[in-house]
This record gives sequence, C-alpha cells and structure tokens, in this order.
Amino acid sequence: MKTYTSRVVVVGTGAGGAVAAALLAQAGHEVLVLEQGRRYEPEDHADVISSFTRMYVNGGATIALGNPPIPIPLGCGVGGSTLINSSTCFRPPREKVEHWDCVDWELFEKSLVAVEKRIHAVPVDESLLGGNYTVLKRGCDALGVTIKPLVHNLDGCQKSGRCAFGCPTGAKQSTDRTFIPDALAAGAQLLTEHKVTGVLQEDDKIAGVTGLCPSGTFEARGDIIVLAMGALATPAFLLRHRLANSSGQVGRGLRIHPASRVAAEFDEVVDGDRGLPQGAYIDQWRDRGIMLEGISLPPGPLLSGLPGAGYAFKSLAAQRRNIATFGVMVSDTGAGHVRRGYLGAPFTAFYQLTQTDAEALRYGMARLGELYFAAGAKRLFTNVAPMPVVQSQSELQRFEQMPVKPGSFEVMAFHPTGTCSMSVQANKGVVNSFLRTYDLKNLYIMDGSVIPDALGVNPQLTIMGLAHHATTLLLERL
Amino acid sequence: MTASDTRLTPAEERFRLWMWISVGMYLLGLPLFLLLGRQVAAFLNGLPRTLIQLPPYPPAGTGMEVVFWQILGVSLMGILGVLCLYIALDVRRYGPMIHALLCAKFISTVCYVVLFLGSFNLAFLVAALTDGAILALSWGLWFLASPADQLLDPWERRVLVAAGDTLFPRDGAFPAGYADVEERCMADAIRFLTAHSPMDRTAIRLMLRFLDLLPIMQFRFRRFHTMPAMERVAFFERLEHSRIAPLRLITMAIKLYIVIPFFNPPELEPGITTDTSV
Repeated sequence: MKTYTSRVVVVGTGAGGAVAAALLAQAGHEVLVLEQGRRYEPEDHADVISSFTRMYVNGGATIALGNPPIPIPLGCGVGGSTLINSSTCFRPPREKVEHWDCVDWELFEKSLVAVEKRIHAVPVDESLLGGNYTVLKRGCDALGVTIKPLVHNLDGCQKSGRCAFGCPTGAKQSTDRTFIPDALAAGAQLLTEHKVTGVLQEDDKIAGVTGLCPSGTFEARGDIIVLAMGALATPAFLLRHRLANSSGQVGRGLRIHPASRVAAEFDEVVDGDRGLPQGAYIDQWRDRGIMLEGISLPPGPLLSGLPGAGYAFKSLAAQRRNIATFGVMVSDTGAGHVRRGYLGAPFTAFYQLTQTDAEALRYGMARLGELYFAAGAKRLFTNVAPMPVVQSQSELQRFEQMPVKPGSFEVMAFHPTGTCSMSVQANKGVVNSFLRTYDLKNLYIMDGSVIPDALGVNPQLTIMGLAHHATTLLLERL
Repeated sequence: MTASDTRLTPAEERFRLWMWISVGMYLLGLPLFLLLGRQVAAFLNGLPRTLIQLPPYPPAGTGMEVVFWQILGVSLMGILGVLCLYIALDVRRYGPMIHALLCAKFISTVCYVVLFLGSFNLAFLVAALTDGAILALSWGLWFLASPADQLLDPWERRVLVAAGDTLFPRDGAFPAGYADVEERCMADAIRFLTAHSPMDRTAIRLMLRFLDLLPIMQFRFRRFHTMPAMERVAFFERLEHSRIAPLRLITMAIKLYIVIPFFNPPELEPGITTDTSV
C-alpha cells in the first residue's frame, strides 16, 4: 500500500475541488489532490465515443431512477464535469443566495469576481454563436422575444461545437486548464487514477482516505479533508461510510434541472454544430422557472434522439445540417434522493419528475416551437411521446393542450445539487456556512451538493464561487 | 487471439464455480437418490404438520416399476453431472452445453408446478422450488458469462445488426447502410458499452433480447431479427411511438448504440456524408 501524508487532501478536481486546491496551495499549504479519472489533453478528445468512454462517469449512463428515468451526465477526469459542460457561466441569482442565509453576498461576490477573472468568463462574441443562434434570433425578432449571448469561460474558441465532449482546441477554461495548473504551480501534488473508496476515522475527525490506484491500494492522510466528488458521489460516499449524517440530510433533497430540447427542420442549412453549442439564452419565462438555452450536438447524439427508422430516417439524417436545436431547462419543484450505490455502482439516484415540471417543460417547448415556426421551420421534433413531431402552428396548439404525464417526456437533467446542503442549523443541513460538516471538524464538502436548491441557472460559477469563498474563510483560520 | 485465449471474466469465474458446485451436488445426490430415493417422500411427510400444512405425498411403492424410474432419474443426474464437469473444465468451449441442463430443469420445474397446483402435495412444491432455483441460478450466471469478454453474445449482436439495418438500410438518401460499416459500428458499440457498469450492460443485453422476442409475444411468430426489412421498420417505428413508456425506452436506448457509432468517426465516411442540402 502506498501512503501519502499532506496538510490538506482534496478529493476531486471539478469546479469545487480544483478551486480549493489552488487557493490552499497558493497560500503555502501542502496539498494533495486525488482524482479517480485521468488527465486529458485537447488532442485526446478525438471522437464522441472516446469522450463518452473516457470522460463521462459510467460512459454517460448515469441515470436517476423514476418515470421517466432521467440521465444526469457527469464528467470524469481531471476537471470533473467542467471537462464536459457547456462552459456556461451564470452568476447565481442574488435572491436565492440571500435566501440560503449562509453566505454574505458582498463577500461571495468578491469570490465570484475572482473566479470569473481566472477562468476568463466573458460574454461571447456573436460571431461564435453559429447557425443555431441565427435561425432562432430570426424567430425572436419576429415575435419580440429577447435572445442574449451567454457568458462563457473560453479563450480562443474555434467553434468546434464539441464543448460537451471535451474541447479539442483547449479553448474551454475548465479547471484542468486553470485552477489545477495553478495548484500544481504552487506545489500541490496531483494523483490521477486514484479512486477514494474508504476513510480513516479517528473520533470526531477524519484522519485520511483510502482507495485504489493502478499499483494497488493507497492511503492519504491529512489534517484537513475536502470532499469534492460531486452532488451524487459525495453523499453516496458519506452514506456508505456512515459519516456526517447526524441530521439525516445526507443524500436527501436532490435537485436537478430537468431539460429537454426542441429540434426544428429548416429548408436552409443551419449547421448548428459549427459554433458554440450553448451560445445564447432566453430568460423571458424565468418567472415560471423556465430557461431556454442553446444546445447543439454532433450528428450521432443529435440523430439518436430523433424519431424514425428506415429510409425516412436516412433522409432525416441526410438533412441533419438543416436541423436546429435549442434546449428547455426548468428549475425543478420536486426533489429526489441519493443512496449508496447498489450492485457495484458508485451511487444510486432516485428522482421523480413532477407534473408541474413536466408541464413547465412542455410550456417552454411550445414557446420554442413558436419561435422556430416564426423563423420558418418546416417541422419540429419534441421528444414527447404523444406528439413527437409537430408540423404546424395548429398542431403546436394541440401539443400545448394535450394531456401529458411526466412519463411521456424524454428528459435529461443537469446540475445536480442539494444532497449535502449547507444550512445555518445543524439539524437541517450537512455543512455550515464554511462548508465544514457539522459532525466532523476537519471534513469539508466543496461541490454542487452543498447548494441547497435548484439555482435555475448553470451552477459552475456558483460552485467555484462557494469553494473560493469557503477556502478564503478557511485560510483565515489556518 | 480468440476469446478462449484470454483470461476468464469475473462472470465466467462465477459461472465456473457454480458448475463445480453442481458437479459436487450431483456426485453427492446420485448415490443418495439411488439408495435413499424412496425415503424422500416419507421424510417430507414427516416434517412437522404445524410447519407446513399441505396434504402428504403418497410414499413410493416397492415394485420394480419404482426401481425402473429411479434408475432413469439417476442416469439423468449422471448425465447432468458430467455435463457440468465439462463446462467447469472449459467454460468457453463447453459453456453452451448448459442449455441441456436448462432445458431439463425447465421441463421438470414446469411439470412440478403443474403437479403441485393439481394436488398441493408438498413433495411437488419442494421439487419445483429446488429445480426452479437451480434453473434461475444457472440461467442467470450463464447469461452474465455467455458473452465472455465480448460484452454481447452472438444472439444480441444479431439483434443489434438487425436494428442497425432497420435504421440505416442500404441506399436511399445516402448510399452507406449499417451493413457497410457493421464491423466498425459493432466495435464502437462494444467500446461504448465497456465504459458502462455491469448492471447497465446487463440492461442493454436484456433489452436487445426483449426486442428480438417481442414480435413473438405479440403473436407474429418470428423474431425481430428474422422479420422482413420493411416489416421490421414499421415494427420499430410503432415501438418508438408506443404509449407504453418502457417500450419507448428500449428503442431509445438501442438507437443510441447504433446511431452514435454509425456517425462516430470525427470525419464522416464518404458514403455517410452525402448531403442533399449541399
């Protein structure tokens, strides 16, 4: 067994862990970073299947059980989910943060600014947005809806259209290209392919973690342990080892952003996959918890979600360049839970889409449909079982009025949060406002699991900001 | 290198262990049944009546007819024992011989269940539970072990290829069909599956088998992969638009393992890039 000793042990290199590791190392502390995946270079992002197999947890097949079952794609590798996200940077809504009652907004905002600066988060230039944006903007202009470019953490984007499969040009400023190099430059040690599977517990603190590595097993001891394995793996790990759960809240309150998409076929070439996949957004219906965000995919993932077979399907495939897509994301009103993994899985998640959220998804899809028809679309593909294809405005009205059940939708979800939520009350949360667990004085959690609810926006920046904020406070006490 | 040359997978190891246990059970059971077979029913009938309240099974007679059936039963046990021994010695070579055992146990389980339902005799219940458990365990372990290190067994590959041809027949909007790039697509589908957990891989395999058998369940009297092409397309489209969510889920999942590999090369192949809009 290999044994490592360090002042701080950080488990995970995603949005939370990488920020914590960099700040702690830059402050002169000895930091050991453990990552179960590998480290990839832009040239490793060769094709879609390679990306799925290398950079996605379980090859992309992480699914929350319910009706419908909901895939929640998660990243695996140095960079975590920042490796495969759409690089969208939203600041969290201030009212949500203040509602948590855990974080001082003025201090938190300083962390957000610092993170934005490091990851180069700026509104993208319209030239990067591609055909998906162009056709939808035409519909928006016709109906008086505002479509806005998103803020992205990019530097030198070459419009590969492959954000979700690992940026092949290295333009995306994911943590493997920002905070992890910062941590390494400041003296941190990074161990890849080191999967944490156990803990060394001593009284009311964690003495270290144990796990598996290519040469066998390892043990990493530290004074401070930071868990940043993600909102599904972290609670499952705590539950498996019966840690930090005196409140009974570990694994409960799983919040996600259920999402679907509308694809629209045009007479013109759209080339949606040449440009920034998630370049723009429409927040006109935000008060209903609905956010419309760009989404474009390479041919395989795009066409696998479209209906049909045989020659008709081949015709559709041949017309793939004429297909535009845009996503609908809702702030969920329900909640799921995470259990320790069964049958060899690292975690098992359960989530039942509510009727309210299903109807919100349908409402968002209908609004997108109107925009697409206004832009000249020939037909729409909805992924909703009773009406997967919509050919006209009148059919769109029928689509909006027909009865739907949650099980009628093909849904994906992103941005899991809430499973180790922070709270100022020990009986209502797992961590306090310093992101330290109430039960174990040297165990910190710095990932999406600490966010108490669904943000309604992509949480990358929020997770980074929270980790930055908490680490800054931690450094004051070290 | 063939599949037989590589190390056994954990699933094969588990199956082999079960075969060794089966050999042991038959070795032990064979003389016991030969010598004490007639006492089995009497033993069961002797169980406390407060524990199991079922009518007793009539004790076996003593005539030569009983001896005849007893010898026949023992010889069958001998055959199954030898069969299990062969499989245990070389899982990859002799593994498919398990179908003989599955067939025997299926017939005996069904017969015992029918007899139990007709008479409620305890001995039939015990026999049904014993053979049923052996059947379930043997089938389950064989199902997990059968693809060896190839992840999909030949049957499942045939179904995947048939589904591929259903989605992408030759010609039409562009010349290349699934059959033209089958080898590459299958390799990519396997690569894709490799990253999934054993449970997810098992789910996909079961979905492929279910898709193949579904037409029979719907009284079409042929399996999916043997259906004529046009009929298969119509069948697949009906499933895709079914009101039953699990059926839609199956088509959606299987489509992933066909369409993503089909379009996987970063630079699409000439036969696939033909684009009517250009």
